[in-house]
Amino acid sequence: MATSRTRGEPTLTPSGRRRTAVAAGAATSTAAGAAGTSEPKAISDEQLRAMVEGGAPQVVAGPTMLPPGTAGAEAAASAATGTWRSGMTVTAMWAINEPRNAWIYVTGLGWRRLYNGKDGAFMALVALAGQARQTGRQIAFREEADGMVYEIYLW
Amino acid sequence: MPVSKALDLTRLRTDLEKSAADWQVTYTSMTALEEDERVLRLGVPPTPGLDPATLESGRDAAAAVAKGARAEAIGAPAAFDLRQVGGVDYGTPVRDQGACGSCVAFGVSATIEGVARFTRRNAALAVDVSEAHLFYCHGRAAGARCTTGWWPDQALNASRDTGVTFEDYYPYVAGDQDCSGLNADWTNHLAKVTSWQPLTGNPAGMKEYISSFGAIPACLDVYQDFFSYGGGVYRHVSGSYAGGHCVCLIGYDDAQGCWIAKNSWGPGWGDAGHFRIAYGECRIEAYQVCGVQGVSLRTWHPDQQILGLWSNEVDANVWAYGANRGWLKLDGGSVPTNLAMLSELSAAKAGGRPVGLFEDNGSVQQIYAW
Repeated sequence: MATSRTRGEPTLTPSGRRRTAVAAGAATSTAAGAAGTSEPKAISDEQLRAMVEGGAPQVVAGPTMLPPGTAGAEAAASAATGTWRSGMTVTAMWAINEPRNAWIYVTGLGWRRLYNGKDGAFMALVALAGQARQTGRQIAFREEADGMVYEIYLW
Repeated sequence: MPVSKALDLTRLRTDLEKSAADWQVTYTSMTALEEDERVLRLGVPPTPGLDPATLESGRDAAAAVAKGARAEAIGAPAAFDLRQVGGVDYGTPVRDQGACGSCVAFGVSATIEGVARFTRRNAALAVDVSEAHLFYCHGRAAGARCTTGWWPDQALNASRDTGVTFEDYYPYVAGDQDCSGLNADWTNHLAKVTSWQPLTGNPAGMKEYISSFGAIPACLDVYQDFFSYGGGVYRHVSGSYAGGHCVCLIGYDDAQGCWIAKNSWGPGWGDAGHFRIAYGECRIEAYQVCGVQGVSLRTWHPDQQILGLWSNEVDANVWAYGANRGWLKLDGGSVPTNLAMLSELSAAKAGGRPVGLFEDNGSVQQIYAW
């Protein structure tokens, strides 16, 4: 069962300047970090289930917002908790050779990590963010208290 | 009193002036027809065991019940019109059943179309259900013919259990047929009612279903004056009983005390093919009424522009918004399949290129990205 590593994070801004707010754990040092010290631990069924399910509450439902300009288009409407950001633009992306560790740079907000709990969800979010970056199209997204982006609308 | 010739509008106008009715008489596509021709444009059998002489006996009581079932008391709006919901028209064009008692197929088809559009909040959804398939195949199998008519509950059972193809796979022409005109590929191009329930005698439920799902089929007793309806809120004033008829209710108005209905006598009849009928009139709540809770589709949606893509923290939960279809979930059978579809749709979206999407009940099964 793969686990997520969360140490690496981007340190440059899109203009190429080194970011000062995220100084600890530069990519190179993280990638070349000391040998792991983890070892198997006994876990309960509940803990195992939580790990398999990614820990965070699942939101299985589909999208509720409509594309801008569509008849009946609504502002962010979701039963999920978290903070919604609309009309955002992705101007940079970052990834590192760690499992499921990719970030996006959102104009006016800065770097945000993409949800890293599951391969399929992670790759879909990366693909949406990549399209947003390439095409300059706006996104709306939901970020949770852990600072990760859990949901993306690409318009 | 059988009417064997064209209706006498002068006499009808005189009768209306003497009454308190608030509707207008006009020369319609039905006025000039003779009685047997008009009756052919109905199509619901009489209620078994009910004496036609007693049809109007419960009119006032039924009206009182319908008025008392205030929509706002059940959390529904005081008025609803599928053609004007927040400025959006979710209706579909008015059809003409012609000289065949197939009104049930039209009332049910109009309901399927209205529910399909309204429940998806998609006024552009391409959904034109084949009344021919419904009546000449499903109805015929149940013994229905142009001269016998049919029942909405039976049509809804067939629509739920087997489904109804679209108009381009079996275009409607009035006159009994043996179903041979049905396209052999119809199982890949159809709409299905997901579920329905009876609402007969339940005006509060009727309002709840109309405002929640968009439309319901309902039957009514038709009298000779109805054929010359030209606007306003219809109440039976004069003329003999002509037969039972099925229409699609697309709205109501508690202030006016009426239902809003879509008929199947062409757009030239009534109020652009529609009419308003007072609560309690012509057994509109008591004859047979059904409520449809949803419609699933299995069909190709060609030439869709992808206007939006979406995903969240759940694996294989990616959706695409087709311009004329709305949100569809990409096949969630496996993550690789899901991501392959996302990749193709992303590229099409980036290039502004159209795609073809094959939908089965809200899920994309196949894609062409041109």
